[in-house]
Amino acid sequence: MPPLETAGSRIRDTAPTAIPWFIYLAAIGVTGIPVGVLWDISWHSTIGRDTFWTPAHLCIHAGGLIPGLTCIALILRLTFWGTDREKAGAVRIWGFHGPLGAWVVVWGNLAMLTSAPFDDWWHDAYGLDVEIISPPHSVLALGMFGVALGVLLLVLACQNNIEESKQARASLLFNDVAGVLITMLAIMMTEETFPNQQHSGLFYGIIASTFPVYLALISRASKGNWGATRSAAIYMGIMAGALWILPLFRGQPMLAPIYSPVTHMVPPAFPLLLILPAALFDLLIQRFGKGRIPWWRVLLLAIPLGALFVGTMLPAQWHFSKFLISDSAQNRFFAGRAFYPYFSRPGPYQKEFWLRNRSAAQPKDIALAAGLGIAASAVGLGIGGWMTRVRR
Amino acid sequence: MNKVRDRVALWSTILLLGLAWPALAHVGSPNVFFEGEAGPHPIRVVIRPPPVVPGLAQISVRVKNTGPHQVQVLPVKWDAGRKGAPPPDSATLVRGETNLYSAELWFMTTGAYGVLVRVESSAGKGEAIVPITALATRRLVMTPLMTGVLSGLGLLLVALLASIARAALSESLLEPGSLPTRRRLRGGRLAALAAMIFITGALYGGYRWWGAVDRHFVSNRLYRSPQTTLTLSERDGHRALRLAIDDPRWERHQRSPLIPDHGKLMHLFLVRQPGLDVFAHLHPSGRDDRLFDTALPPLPEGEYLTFADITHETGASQTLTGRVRIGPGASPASWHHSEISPDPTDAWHASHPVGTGAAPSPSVPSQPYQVRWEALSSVVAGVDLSLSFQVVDANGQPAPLELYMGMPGHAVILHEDSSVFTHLHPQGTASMASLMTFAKRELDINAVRRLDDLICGVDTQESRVHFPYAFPKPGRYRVWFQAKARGQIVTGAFEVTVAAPS
Repeated sequence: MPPLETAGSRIRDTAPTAIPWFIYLAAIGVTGIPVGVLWDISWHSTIGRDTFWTPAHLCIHAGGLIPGLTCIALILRLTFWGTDREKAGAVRIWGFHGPLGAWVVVWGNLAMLTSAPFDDWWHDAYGLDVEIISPPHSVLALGMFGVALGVLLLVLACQNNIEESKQARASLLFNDVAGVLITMLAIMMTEETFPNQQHSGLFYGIIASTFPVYLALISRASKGNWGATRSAAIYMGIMAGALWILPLFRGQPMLAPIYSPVTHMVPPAFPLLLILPAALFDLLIQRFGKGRIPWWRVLLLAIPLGALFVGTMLPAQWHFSKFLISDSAQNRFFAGRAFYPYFSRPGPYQKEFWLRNRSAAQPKDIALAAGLGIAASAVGLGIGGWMTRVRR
Repeated sequence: MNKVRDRVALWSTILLLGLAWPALAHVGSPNVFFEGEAGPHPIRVVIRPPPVVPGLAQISVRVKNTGPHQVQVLPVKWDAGRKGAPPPDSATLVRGETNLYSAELWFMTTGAYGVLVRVESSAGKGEAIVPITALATRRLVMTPLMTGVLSGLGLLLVALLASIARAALSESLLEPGSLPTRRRLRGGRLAALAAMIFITGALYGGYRWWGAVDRHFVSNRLYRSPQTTLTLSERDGHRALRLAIDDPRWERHQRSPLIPDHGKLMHLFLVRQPGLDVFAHLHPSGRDDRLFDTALPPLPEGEYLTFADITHETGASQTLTGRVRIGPGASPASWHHSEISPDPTDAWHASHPVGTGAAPSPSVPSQPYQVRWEALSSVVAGVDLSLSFQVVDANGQPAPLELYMGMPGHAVILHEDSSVFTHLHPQGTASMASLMTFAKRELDINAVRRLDDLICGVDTQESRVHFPYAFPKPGRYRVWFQAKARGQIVTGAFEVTVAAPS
């Protein structure tokens, strides 16, 4: 295929001037995934009994299908009815044309679809699993992440191509979808991040090896200056929204045994204070990490980022979790210990820290967490660098 | 450390498994049959438990008086009680039936449950509770079709991911319309290769994870009858049998003490192989929670299968299986004068080997009383039956029955290949200790008194005893019936061939 345009002024002339409607549709649709998953966890913690058609499940399905159908339609339109110029702005896979993000969304939908018969068989083989992380749930989660990542790439290509005057809006949309991805990651780690676990070395190791990837890539790839901060705020907003809204609705366990007779929908635990390291990531990356930088500067920048992540999250979560499990946090705003499901036995452990080694996180645990944080930051910066260059 | 692990496992299967070791009464016969009363309503309940937990149990309730009835069921876990139960589910009338109701209930954790059945009609309302132990009894193997579907989808995912990775590092970085350079194309191919390596690693990791889950399921959740070792000792011509529960899982998981069933901690059945012709029902006394001793009756020489029924304080009942070789016999006198006194309710019986007589057939006549089994026109696997026995004297006249360990009669059913073993009472398959445990916990005092009446004050004048049951699979079975008449324990042995459902 001959090149229609080359990089330079002609491309700038033809840069899109508006965010296409289908990107808005996909971005709004994908929000259904974390909202539906939070709702579903609350459903299983409160009511227990469910069907394929519960509102929470429908919300998750919509979160996958709206972006999925949108992207399939986009690929078919581009392939069969697209102009040469439109096709030239897409990537070609197996003879079909579509933006990279659309392909990732389709992959995510396919993975979600694959998880359905697998999960069904799993229930027949090992019983209905109510745990978040199981092999079939991991395939589902991979699919959900695929859908969200695909939508993020769609928005990203739009942000990177759109004319400068519209870049701020596209960047905001990019941060919104990135916030959805952070929320999904946080939900996946629910079982290891309860407030009662936030004095253990494992907790800091887990959050330091995951969240900095997201914060660094968002901050670096975002055209705006406060991308990671905005995305972290979106994450905290979604979680806090669930925390405050779900308990407004009555709910009653429908399965035995009931050890905690809950009367309203069980909320998630209070979100992690990710906005603190996110702001520091933005400050440092604005100064040292925007644009194209050599690999050694990426590595150099990752060192303070990883250290700062642990340096802020350690004191913040250490003290905040003490507050959350105390009686002072037992209110509608913080809902400190309200996340326990109907099948948990009330006991003093709910007011204690769950420590694996009888003592809280040791200096070696913190040093390990900082090392993981540095590695994760480097990975995030690297992916963020690639993302700044995505055009299709 | 265990305490910590328990806490951390808030959402994990450890909590879901419950605290007591899963236990299962009977072997190869998981369905629970119950016949009793819910207030003024005579009922027959069949519970088909799920093969894995959490899973859905199928409940059917036949109300034997005229309706219309309102039937409700709810699951009551032993350690949560009725206050830890959800609102009851209404059972629906089965199409084409006038008094058969069905419902489904979720068993979410392994361990002892009671299914509370509530029946209401113009005649009044009443409740009954049917004990059942929820546990995994089956390991599912994936069908070739499912393997093919999942493999196909998996391959598609791998191939598409590789193509996406190639595009991500080549075309996607180009300005619209530009062609990738050779370097970019190489980068794309490398990305595709890296994606393949990554996804292959992820799939391998997933495969290992699946294997670990499966191994945990098989070792800790899938029910296996605990291993027992039986040893025979002989001194001065007196023979004693010791049953030791030497399964390591017993030490690890057995956390609830045993309770007596009909006043006995253990009901031990011995059946000689291969003819199933010699049968003994003994009641060993416990030395501790894993050693049980009994005097051995003068059983003929041979290889014996053993089935030991026990009931836990939780209400779960369990059958322990084993085998023992018994040498040349001792005299009956040695049994009665052995160091370990035989229990007065112990009994043994010999009959013709299975498959050598007409079926069903009475036992070898060696007693002043005989047992008759009311002939069944046809016996098909899975079909609800009422097994009906009568004790008659030498003149063929019905003999008035006395209670034998609180029961008008006991029945024991064994498949020829020993894959099915069931100990039945007129109330059904549940041990009476389980039934009483749940009834005392969950029913009101009047209902409990009625239950006591039902068990202890049963009208034995009729000399006929009925047992609710459905044979779980086709094949030839041996059936023993035991009752007590004029102070004598009467045993009858029969055989029946069960047809496969058409």
